[in-house]
Amino acid sequence: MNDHLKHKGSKRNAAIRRLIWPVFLLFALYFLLGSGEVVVPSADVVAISPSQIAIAPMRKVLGDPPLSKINGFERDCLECHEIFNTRDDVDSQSVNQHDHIKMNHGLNKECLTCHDRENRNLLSLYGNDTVSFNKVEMLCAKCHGPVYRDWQKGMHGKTIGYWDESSGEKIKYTCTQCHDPHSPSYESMAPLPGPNTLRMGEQDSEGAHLDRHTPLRTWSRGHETHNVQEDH
Amino acid sequence: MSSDHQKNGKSTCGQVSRRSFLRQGTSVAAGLAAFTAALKPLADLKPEDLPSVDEFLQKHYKEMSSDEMSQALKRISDKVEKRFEIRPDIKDIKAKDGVEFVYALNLTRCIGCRKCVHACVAENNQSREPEIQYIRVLEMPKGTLDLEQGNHHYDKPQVPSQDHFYMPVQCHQCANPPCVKVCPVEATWTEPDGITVIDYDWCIGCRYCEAACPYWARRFNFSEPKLPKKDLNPNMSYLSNRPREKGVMEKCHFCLHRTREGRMPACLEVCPVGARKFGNVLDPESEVSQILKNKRVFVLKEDVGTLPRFFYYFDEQHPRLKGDQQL
Repeated sequence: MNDHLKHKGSKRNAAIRRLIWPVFLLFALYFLLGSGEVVVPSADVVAISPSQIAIAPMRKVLGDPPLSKINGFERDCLECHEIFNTRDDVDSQSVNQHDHIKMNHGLNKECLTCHDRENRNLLSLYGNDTVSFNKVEMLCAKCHGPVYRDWQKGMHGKTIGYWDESSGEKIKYTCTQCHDPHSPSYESMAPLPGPNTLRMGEQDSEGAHLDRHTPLRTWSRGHETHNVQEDH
Repeated sequence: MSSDHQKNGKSTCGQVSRRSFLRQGTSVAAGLAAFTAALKPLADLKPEDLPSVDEFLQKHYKEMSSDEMSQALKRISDKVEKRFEIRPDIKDIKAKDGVEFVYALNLTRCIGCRKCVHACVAENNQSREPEIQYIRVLEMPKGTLDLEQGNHHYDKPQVPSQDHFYMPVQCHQCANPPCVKVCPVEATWTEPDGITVIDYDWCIGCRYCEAACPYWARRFNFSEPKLPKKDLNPNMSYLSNRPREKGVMEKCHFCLHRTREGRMPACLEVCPVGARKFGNVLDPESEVSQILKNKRVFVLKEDVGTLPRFFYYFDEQHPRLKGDQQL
């Protein structure tokens, strides 16, 4: 009985031993012929120019008095407006000197709602009160109370520089550094490139990987043909 | 040879059959050949790929004395200078007392321009190829917070789209971070100011933390990170944006080398709409404290109990503008 088992076991061992060397030989061939270098497929780099991620206010803010360049010289508003009469009924579309201004500020269409009639270097608040151009937020606060409150507390608007004022200057943008007062809503812009998450090479077109929910995708403009509106 | 010997497949002492010699000899030769071939990649190693004795013996960040730290910083500087031909300004900046960082992001304002994504890459010396980005911007259909419907590959000529809102996601610097719990070697931990950091020299690259993070905030260097010399940001610190090696994890660290010196993070400064807010939540007058106090704030995946330090908020809509795109 015991002898019989022993005999069977040794027979199996012999068979395994006979198989070992061809298997090793195959491994040896595989490793020797293989390049040994692992290539991780990665998508092409999309170059970003420094200007695309520059940190600067969207707009320049006017000082006190507000100066603008006319024929190469910096002039304030009164240099013309002391001479010219002011009509009450004008909106910007009919003013020939300021025809580059396109008004898109909701119901607020008339120049003298914000600009002071007597002194064009100032902005008008309630009654006869005025405020200079470098304190423009006081003017905006006339109508945009909740936003002004949020801006004061830092909940609206942009703050750059130092969060810790003991280490450096905290720079808080004012209304007109982001918004055009004549057309305050934001312009849309082209998005910068999205992520390249396709590390496993191109997927076949019939595969589920082309579904827009998949994280596997290379970025190329015009790649996305999916109409999301149709989905929902 | 007796039948007894043949049965066992063994030869007696001093007697080796031709067949068993050939069989066993070839096996050994093939085994050796396979072993040598398997070690072949080692032949491609250059001496500079191997860690120096000092690097090998370098301690965990928390166990280094200030002397050891300055030596480590010098080693890193030398390495960076050799590779990028520029001497970096590398520091080890400690957390300040009485500071806990919090980030707030205004979903009403974000337009999905992805400037934050690329400013982050420029600031933090991520690999350009393969590409590593810490911030992911999800384009979400209006009226839902179902992340399954989010798309981070949106590719419109102009953003924002009328029917979508945009939700950037990055490391949430959780107060109860699952990534820290799963790290088998304590290479990642939460600092006193709330930033979860990684000691890149201690990380073994097991990627447990990547699997544990519910926000997909962690990135792995699958291959040698490639960064053009001209794109290196020389202002760096040990725990944040010093160049990483292949095989280690990395993630957003709230621009620790900037924020611990009082500055704002790079993604915030580049945001064209002011949707990003950052500050010290222990200061009741800080912008983030005011937001947490006054705005409608929520955290992503609140139900998983990670207690993020990254909050999303909305502005109230003017009644007259309800249903309109402009807010």
